[in-house]
Amino acid sequence: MLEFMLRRTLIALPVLLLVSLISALIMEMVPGDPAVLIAGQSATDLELAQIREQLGLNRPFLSRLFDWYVALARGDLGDSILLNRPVTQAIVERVPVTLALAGSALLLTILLGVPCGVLSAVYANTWIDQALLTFSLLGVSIPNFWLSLMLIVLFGVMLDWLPAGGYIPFADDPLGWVKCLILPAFSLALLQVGLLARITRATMLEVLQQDYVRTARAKGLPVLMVVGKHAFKNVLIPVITVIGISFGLLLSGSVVIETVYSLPGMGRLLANAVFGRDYPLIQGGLLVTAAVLVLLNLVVDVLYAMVDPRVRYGKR
Amino acid sequence: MASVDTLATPERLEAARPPSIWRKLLRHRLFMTGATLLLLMVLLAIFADLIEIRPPEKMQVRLRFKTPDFAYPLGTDNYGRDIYSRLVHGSRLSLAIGFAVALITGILGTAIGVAAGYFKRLDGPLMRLMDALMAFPAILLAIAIAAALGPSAMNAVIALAVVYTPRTARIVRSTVLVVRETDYVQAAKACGARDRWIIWRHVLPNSMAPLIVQLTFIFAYAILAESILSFLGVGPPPPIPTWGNMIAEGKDYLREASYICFFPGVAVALTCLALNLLGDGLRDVLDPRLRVQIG
Repeated sequence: MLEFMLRRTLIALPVLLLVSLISALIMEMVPGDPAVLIAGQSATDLELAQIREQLGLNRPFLSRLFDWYVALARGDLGDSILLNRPVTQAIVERVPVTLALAGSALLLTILLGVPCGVLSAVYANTWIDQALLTFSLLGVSIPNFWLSLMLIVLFGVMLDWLPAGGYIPFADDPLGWVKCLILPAFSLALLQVGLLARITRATMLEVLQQDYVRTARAKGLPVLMVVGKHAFKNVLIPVITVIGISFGLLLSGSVVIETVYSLPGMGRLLANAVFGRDYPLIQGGLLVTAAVLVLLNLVVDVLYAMVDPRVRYGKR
Repeated sequence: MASVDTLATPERLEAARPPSIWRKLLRHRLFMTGATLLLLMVLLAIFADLIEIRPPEKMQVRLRFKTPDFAYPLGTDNYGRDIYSRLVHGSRLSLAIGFAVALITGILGTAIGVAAGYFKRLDGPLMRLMDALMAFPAILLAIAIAAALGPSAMNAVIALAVVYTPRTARIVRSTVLVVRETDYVQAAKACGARDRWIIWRHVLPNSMAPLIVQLTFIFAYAILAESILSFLGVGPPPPIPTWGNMIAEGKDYLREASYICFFPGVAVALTCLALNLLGDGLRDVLDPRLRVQIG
């Protein structure tokens, strides 16, 4: 087990190095002078010089890259131009909101996705299966920011049941916190619900054809009992897979969802950085999310190995 | 003469042969639904100039926020432009961007995937780079690249191609790894065939099925992602209509005129649904072992 973990960590290291390099390269892709883009056409020469100094644009690329790594080693991602403070600080402040959103979306995904997948498998090729399949296809086809806008119109404006946007911290008002997360979490979850349902269905179908399930059925155990007791344990594996895949999708989605619902999370921070061409913040945000995902995949792989011993000795 | 019934006439051989791929696809109900829907969208895009009611960029200040009626089937937007005509024209850029991304991703992904899968020495470095690109959340990386390059249709295509190429390369590589070990490739090698010939004649044709399925899905993601880029203001800029920037422009008038946002979103969803149905059908027929892949 320890050897497996070490091996996986060793593979992750060069990936992390490349990830940091790609993040550092983003500003190099800007055609022309990034300072002009940031300050606008009407900026004075002094302002431009200041921004160039701040971003290190008046130095050669390699020296800038070197500084970026030196600072990175100290956990310093530079200063945001728009917010005028350290990027790390700005990101850390926003993390709780994004975690609350992603966490509740993940919870919704599992609560809706697993039952849908199990139902589809048990009633495979009936109208229930077809309906759930159509639903999951719709989930991956509907743009979630558009769905959010429509949900805001329906529940926020026309029915006035839920807030149309904004965020209330849990400590201030727990009920308000739940209310303001319902619509964003649902909009974010929809894509993954279909994904999880389809993976669960496929796994379940495979399991239901196993001999031990047939034996259990032949003994006269009711379907529900067989599914619940014998087959369900195997569903844990797709759930872990989807948690691994989902987090990337959730973080991507949060950029759009947090913007639409005006939630003060990391996603909206990065969206604003994009609008304001705040390159240090864009680079820092990219690096942090990618690093988190690489580490998360590591954890998921280890979890796999714990749930399913076959993985440990496999070719992986 | 009972034996006549068992004679292998050409007609009987034809009937006994397993149905061709085309036959199977034609019989696949969901595939045909998707194909019809997509064909409709493509026709809309091609004949946009003929079926428009008014020029999509024509502003009529006095006709702002007209709710859908007979003269303006989908209403007018905040500048008094006809939403129906804009929607029809928007299909051009949205479909073109999606198609371009799928095409470029297909070519680059195949090249990288074959190189990594066939030549063992290239495998490590190439795939680590692909892993690194895939470590970023897809949309986030696309947004960052598009923001750096500047908002335009071309840059949106570049950004999305960078994001989806690694995902294609990985799939091609995994098929190539299998094909490389097959007897016919080994036999060709033993005969002294050159690598270029083996790749062209044996590896590529036998690695196409999963790629085609994957590209259909990438077409769908790209259309979805383009709408997100436009929505965030880093896609093709207005006034050229795309479905994404139509929704972006309409979002400020959500309370008064939600239909401005509604119709372009339906167009995106229908097109993606069509492509997903198409991809599912192709997968069922071409490569039944493949499972759901989401980027």
